[in-house]
Amino acid sequence: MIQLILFLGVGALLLISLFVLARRGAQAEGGAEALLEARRALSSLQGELLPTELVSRIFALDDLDYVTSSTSEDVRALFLAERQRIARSWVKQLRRQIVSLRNFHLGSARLYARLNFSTELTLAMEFAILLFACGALDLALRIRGPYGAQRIVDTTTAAAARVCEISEKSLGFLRPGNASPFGNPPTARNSAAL
Amino acid sequence: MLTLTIWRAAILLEAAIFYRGFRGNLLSKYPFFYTYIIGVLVSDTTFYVVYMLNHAAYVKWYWVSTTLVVILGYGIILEVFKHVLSAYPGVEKLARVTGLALFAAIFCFAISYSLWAPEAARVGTTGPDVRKDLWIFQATFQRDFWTVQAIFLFAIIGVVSYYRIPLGKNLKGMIVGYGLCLGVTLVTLALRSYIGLSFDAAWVFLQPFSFDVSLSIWAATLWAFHPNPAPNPAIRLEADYEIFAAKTRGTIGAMRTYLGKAARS
Repeated sequence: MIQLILFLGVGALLLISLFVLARRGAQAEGGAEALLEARRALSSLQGELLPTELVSRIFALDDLDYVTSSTSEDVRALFLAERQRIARSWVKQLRRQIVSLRNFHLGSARLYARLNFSTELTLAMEFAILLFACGALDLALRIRGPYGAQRIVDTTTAAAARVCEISEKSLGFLRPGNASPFGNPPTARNSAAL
Repeated sequence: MLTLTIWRAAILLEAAIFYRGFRGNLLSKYPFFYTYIIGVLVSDTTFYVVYMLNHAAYVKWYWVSTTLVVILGYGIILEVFKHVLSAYPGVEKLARVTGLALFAAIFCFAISYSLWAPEAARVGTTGPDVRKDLWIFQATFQRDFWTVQAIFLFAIIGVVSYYRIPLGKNLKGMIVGYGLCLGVTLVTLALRSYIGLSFDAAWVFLQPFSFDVSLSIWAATLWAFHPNPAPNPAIRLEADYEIFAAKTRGTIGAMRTYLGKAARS
């Protein structure tokens, strides 16, 4: 019976992976265009979607105070629901940014001859944990609401700025004049290794 | 009648793939794959004639031919390694390590399970007259060979999907076609050896039909030469991998710290 499950499992896993491979679109093909696309997506997030001022405005308590003092309970509930939707949308954007970073890493790492199995496994797990954290944050926003705690607003705002900054650095090598990722100058040893 | 139709269709498709390969000069580009195609074409054509003229001889020699074809199937795995991963030596090594690790894990499990519960391990795969039953031995032997191929193909697909390695139409078709054939064969062989002869009605149809589907995929994707996209040399990074990986890890750590703070607040 165990052997049956084993062989069925191997066959089923292979068929599922084939399905995933067959469904892979042209966008997932990778290459320089994919990395440039990631860079463009991050620029768009930084410039249009996640500036600190905008995020502060979305989570501002002033708006809640004004709505609470000037309108009915129904309007307040509607306002809170809307703000919750916006906050969760922000987490969604953050998640996209992390996925962009992961795509960037994978797109670059595949070109290295000295790819390390354990390092890659660790990184894969760390990316997974980070994406899980985004999910947990989304859940917290859903349960506690956008104004559940004032500190969450401040920290998420800071996190947004910080994440953008980090991603900016990670994709910095795509700028003209930068030859290496994260600003690391190439060395003779490294060049020889490749 | 249906089985014979499927068989004839397979011969036609194999001939078409070979003809297109010859005309499009694909034979020299994918020698292992076309060795496999020539092998199955010769085997299917010969045994079709033998089946029509002498059924007893067909039953006697069919499994020898099938075993040779199974071994030739390794050529497709080699072809994929050669064309898809040769431009990415790091990923190629990763695929090899993953494939070997998976194979070692399954092999060790199967050995320990057989030692731990020899009677239980035999249930569903062999009968009490296993030593006398050549057919069961051959079926098990082929299934094991196919399993090893499936594990390696799974490892290749895993790293190709994870690292988003670009695939040309030819290679993608080769992988999908052979993977489909392997997957369906493994599942049906496992079910057949467990359920027994009552599964034969489905097995004699499913297995050759899945092979026809694979041949159709190959005929469509290998109609003309589509080279595998080469990595863009302009994007090749000069920094050391360890530094690069450490920086990514540092970035992840920083992101996690900020997210953690946000979640705790």
